[in-house]
Amino acid sequence: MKLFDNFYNMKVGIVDLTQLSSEVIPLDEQIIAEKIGGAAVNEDLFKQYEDDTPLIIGVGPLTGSFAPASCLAVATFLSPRFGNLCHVPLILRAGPEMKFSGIDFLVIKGAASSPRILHIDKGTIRILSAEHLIGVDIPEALPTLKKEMTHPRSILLTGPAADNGAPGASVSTGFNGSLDKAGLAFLMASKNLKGVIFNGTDGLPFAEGNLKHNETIERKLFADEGHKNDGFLSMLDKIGIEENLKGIIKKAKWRNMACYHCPFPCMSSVKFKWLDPRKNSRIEDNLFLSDHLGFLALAKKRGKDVFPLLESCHRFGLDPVAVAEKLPESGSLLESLNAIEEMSVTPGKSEPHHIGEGPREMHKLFGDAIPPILPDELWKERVWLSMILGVCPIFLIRFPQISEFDLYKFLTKNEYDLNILKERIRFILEN
Amino acid sequence: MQKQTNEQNNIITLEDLRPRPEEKKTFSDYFMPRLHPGILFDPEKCTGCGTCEMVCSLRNISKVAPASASIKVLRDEISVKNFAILCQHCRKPLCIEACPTRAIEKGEDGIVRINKLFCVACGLCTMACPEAAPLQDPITGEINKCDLCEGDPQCVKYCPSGALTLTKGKSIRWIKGLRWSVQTISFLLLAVILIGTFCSLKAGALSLSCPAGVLQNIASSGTVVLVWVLSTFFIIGLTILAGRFFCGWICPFGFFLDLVDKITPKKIGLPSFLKSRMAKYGILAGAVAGSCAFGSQVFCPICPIGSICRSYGAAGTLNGANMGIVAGLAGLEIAERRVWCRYFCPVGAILALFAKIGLIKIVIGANQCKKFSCVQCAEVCPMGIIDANKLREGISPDIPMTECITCMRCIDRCPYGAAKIRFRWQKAVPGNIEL
Repeated sequence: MKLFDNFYNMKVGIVDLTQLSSEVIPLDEQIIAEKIGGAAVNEDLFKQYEDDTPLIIGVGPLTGSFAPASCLAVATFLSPRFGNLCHVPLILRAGPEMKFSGIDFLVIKGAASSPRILHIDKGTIRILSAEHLIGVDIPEALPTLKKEMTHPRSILLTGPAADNGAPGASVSTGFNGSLDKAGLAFLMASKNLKGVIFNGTDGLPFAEGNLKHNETIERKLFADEGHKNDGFLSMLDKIGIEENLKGIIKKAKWRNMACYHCPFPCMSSVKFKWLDPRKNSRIEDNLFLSDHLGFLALAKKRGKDVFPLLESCHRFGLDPVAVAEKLPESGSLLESLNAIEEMSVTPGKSEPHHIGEGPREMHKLFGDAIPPILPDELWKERVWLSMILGVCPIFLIRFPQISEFDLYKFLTKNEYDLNILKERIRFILEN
Repeated sequence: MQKQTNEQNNIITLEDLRPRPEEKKTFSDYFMPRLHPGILFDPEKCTGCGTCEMVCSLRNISKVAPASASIKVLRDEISVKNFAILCQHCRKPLCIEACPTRAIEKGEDGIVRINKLFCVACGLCTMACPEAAPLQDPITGEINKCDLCEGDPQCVKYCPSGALTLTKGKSIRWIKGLRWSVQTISFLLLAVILIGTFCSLKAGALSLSCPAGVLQNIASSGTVVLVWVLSTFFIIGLTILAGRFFCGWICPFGFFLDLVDKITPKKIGLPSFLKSRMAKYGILAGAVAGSCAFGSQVFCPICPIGSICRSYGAAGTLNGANMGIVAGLAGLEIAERRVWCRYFCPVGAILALFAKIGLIKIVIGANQCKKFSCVQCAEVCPMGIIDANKLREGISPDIPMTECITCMRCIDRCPYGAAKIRFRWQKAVPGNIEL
């Protein structure tokens, strides 16, 4: 079946950090035919390299395509936090940039003897030294990287928290945080891998006519939902948020932000003023809000202080849920900021953390970062579908009116192929 | 000379092969400028989804390859702002000047295009462009530049948040037309019909006087006559209400300088030692002190505003001395625009003092103006008070109302609606986020 010819580079990058070597090999067509892509192929690759405690990052066939919210890359690894195989969604531009950098799947095995960073462009992988970035806050490390790599297009980076082996470490996509709550940053640190840079300077033709199909879906969504969209807040509404917490975001000035090709943004940037107790001055800051559950956990704990605390989490590369779990209910902002800084330098064992009753198995499978806003079975099906095809899971659970066929039609218009696709994906989901 | 030598030696130059197109400007271009198409980018609406890059690259190289698009949407992760890099189809494109093979042309429709037949991908256009909008394609190596998809830009069509808008420009600038009309009527009224009466005009019970003249009168006579003071209230009141509106819209000498500017578009620059905006206050103080010392107005006889009103006699006679003053000072226009008004005019100085406490201000919201390299407002400002560098950095410049002549050229010219009149007490700059 040549269904995916225009949707993949058909290349897998293999990085051996122990040997500091890399190679790019052809992607087995049979795997793609059977597993389609994304988390399903990742799982297959994970089994192939299981002995090397690999980290697999992969994209789906629709990643980077004209399908709405086609932003997804999936990181698959044995979670040091939950102890199970875990698929963490990497959003914003990580997926498309990975695909446009010339590889579809990346297998990172072994561990380096000194900190390293991977740079991928035009189908080649470079393993570079990252010693100078160790212990550097993320907002300071990013400009250094951008300068050295002449403005790379997407950066996955761990912060000082991961460098110090802090249990709540979380990987960051640029300075925008991430949905890593399963210990991806912890695993990367154990491999001495500081980050991965995707410089997508190539492209793929995808399929003709898909732009029209996307337009049809978008029109349908806009007809259902209307054009007004509250970004981050709209998703919080679906999760369920108290009015007083909603007021915190509403009070600040915000604008909507989206992942790659997403017509309904669920993220926002906020501009807020706060009294910095360390400088004793009122300052204005900007913050990118992408992690709904992280925000809620911190907001429920510390109310109006949520923005500076979240900024601090992003700065050190900490998971806001892990931070919220350890922060006391009361106390001054200064104490909380100091506590976060302390958390980022205190090593420990990566342990499960949660607010409330804790994640169930199906949530743990996807890193416990995707809000459970649908009934369990439907939620699981939609998230799996997104993780295989390379479409944002938050988008798919938010708009259940987008059918699986709507998405398959981006891959083929042929009735026969559509049915095969359906059967294969059903088979993957059931197994 | 070079051309003649080339002809003698039978050398064919680029000029012979692709002569530089001559800029043809018709009379109507001054009042009804040609359409100036472009894409407006609204950072408040942009979500950074990159759909524009997808569809643009598809048109450029038949692939989805955001790096090959002619539009770039970048996110400053620290300030969490999106901004776009795209061709502005400038009125006077620097890329055209820079291109060594003359591969870039501006069409009659205002669209700046690259002729790929002649382009050698040297990248000089990218370096010359303040926006760095022509971009080298990492796949094909060619230079890509927005051509507005020949009038139907795909990025605008598919942008889901409506952050991109196609504009065909303003066909008529109504402020420009209105200002020229008011200036012409004022000039005819003051310099031709009410000859020589500018300094003091009495129409029934209404008495109008030049405030600088009245100040010199008071200084020379040593007495304060209430009628004189009251007669200045019209101009002073107008200044408090609308800034130095008189200078921009009514002053006959200002109008004359604007006309001279039209025939001297290229400026040679003024020596820096003469460029002090405080000089006009010195001249005003000197005029008052001189009047006090000599017992008569010392500046009024040489005042260019008065001179232009007096240079044409009632019986059709011409006043040589006054004409000399007007011509001499107007000659400074080859150095800078409105040199007299900027640095030396004592009438402007006295109005500036009242404009400082005026009710209005001009604001330019750098956030709303979106394209930091546009700076058209700075280019058209006759007083040279808009800091183009600040705009390029994305900072809203302070417009000193003491220097602004409220001509509203910046408002008229701004394609983004970022330049606006605001009341003095209004804090918000258009488009800037105020918490």
